[in-house]
Amino acid sequence: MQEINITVNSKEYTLTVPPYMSLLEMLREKLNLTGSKEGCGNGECGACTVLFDGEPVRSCLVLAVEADKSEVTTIEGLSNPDGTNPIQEAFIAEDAVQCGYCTPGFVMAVQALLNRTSEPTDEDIKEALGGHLCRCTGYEAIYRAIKKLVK
Amino acid sequence: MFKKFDYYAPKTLAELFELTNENNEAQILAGGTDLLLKLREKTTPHKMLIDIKKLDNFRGIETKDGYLRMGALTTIREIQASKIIREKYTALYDAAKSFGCLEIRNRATIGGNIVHASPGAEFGTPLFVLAAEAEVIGPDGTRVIPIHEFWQDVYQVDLKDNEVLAAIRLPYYEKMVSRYHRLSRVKGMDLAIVGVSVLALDPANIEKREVKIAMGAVARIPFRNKEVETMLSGVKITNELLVSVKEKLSDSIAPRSSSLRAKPAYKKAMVGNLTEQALLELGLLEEGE
Ligand SMILES: Cc1cc2nc3c(=O)[nH]c(=O)nc-3n(C[C@H](O)[C@H](O)[C@H](O)COP(=O)(O)OP(=O)(O)OC[C@H]3O[C@@H](n4cnc5c(N)ncnc54)[C@H](O)[C@@H]3O)c2cc1C
Ligand code: FES
Ligand code: FES
Repeated sequence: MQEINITVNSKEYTLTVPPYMSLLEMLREKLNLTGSKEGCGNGECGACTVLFDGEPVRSCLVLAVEADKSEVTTIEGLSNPDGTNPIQEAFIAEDAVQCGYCTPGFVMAVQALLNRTSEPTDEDIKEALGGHLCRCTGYEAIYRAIKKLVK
Repeated sequence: MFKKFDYYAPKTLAELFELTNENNEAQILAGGTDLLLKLREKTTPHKMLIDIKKLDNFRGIETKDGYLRMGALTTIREIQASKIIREKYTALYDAAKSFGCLEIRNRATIGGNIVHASPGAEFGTPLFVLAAEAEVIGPDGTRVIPIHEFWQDVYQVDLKDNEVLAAIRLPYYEKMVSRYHRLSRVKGMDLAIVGVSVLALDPANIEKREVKIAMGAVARIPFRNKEVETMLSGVKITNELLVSVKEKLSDSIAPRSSSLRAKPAYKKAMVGNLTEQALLELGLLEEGE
């Protein structure tokens, strides 16, 4: 077991974790932040995407111990005090959510994109979403939601 | 959960070598995008991971005595964002751009890509034509090895148990252009079916021009065809020449038929096309014939 100090959604934690625990497992099982999902566990689907020191990563392929002294933002950390978030609202308005399993990952990717630039090009949007799989929506609605949001 | 292992994150080279000297089976952890995947498989036991990300020695892209030094921990995202790489070592930029997805590029490192040494590794062929060298460090000091000698076989590189890859060195040439192209089943999130890098030194001076071509995912390690390079160097590259070059390239490879991604015949047909595409972009093909 190892002790780590980690800031998650602006709150500081000291946790004791086994070195072979993923960041995703730590978030879900130790902190009960179950918004981040495990789709594939292999880095391929994007459902587990969180911001790690501001940059999007696949939390299924990061160890909790690697996040010692780091800052992590999950989907739970994006909402305003009233529980809403502009990206989430844009997704709802465009029917970009069906089963919703992929949605937290997509929203984190869009947040990271907007942190980089307030005026993303089509190319930027495609790059941001490139590694995210959705089995339900066919992607069009998700793309439309983001286009509307940044207009 | 992953399979059980111990984890150390040394902060100095002395600590690192103490760990590697005492633990022959320890594995170096960089971005983890290959290694952690392996640790999910039930078959491979791993006892200890040594995370090198707390060490500064392996970071950064900097110019040094006539070469560019790229720390082994340089992420694919950092390569994609580097101005000097985009302008001078364009094939590396191309490789970074076609690599995985943004989240993977944020973690994956150039060092991990090279040491993992999969036959289609994105950076294999660009580094080969760029005449890169591997800077390896161990308790006894530093060794510098040409990249094509560093790759010994598929998944096998010239590293002793107590050594790590510290950096990649790229020689600087005043007049140098290069491109990398790959084909994959889906854009991005799949390894290359086949990849080709083309480089030209002194591209505008036809007589002195030197052309290099490396192919990836067609053999156990990246492969250069010197005969074809000689055919293309120092001459005008006409359509006629291109036809025979494509034939020779295709004949020179024997991709394994067990490849998951494409049949040998397809790879043989495509190496020439990717080469042509790169030559065209580099302005090396004669026009109007
Ligand atoms: C979803 C996904 C998409 C991917 N897409 C691509 C792609 O498009 N193209 C591609 O080429 N690869 C791809 N990969 C594979 C992988 O991301 C790359 O090979 C990557 O560069 C590995 O780097 P890493 O830092 O993550 O290595 P790690 O997993 O940390 O290490 C890989 C191996 O190298 C060793 N190692 C690492 N650094 C050093 C060092 N400095 N010294 C000594 N040993 C070292 C480790 O011990 C391990 O054996 C993909 C992987 C995933 C999960
Ligand atoms: S669960 Fe991490 S990428 Fe699919
Ligand atoms: S909404 Fe179901 S996977 Fe995307």
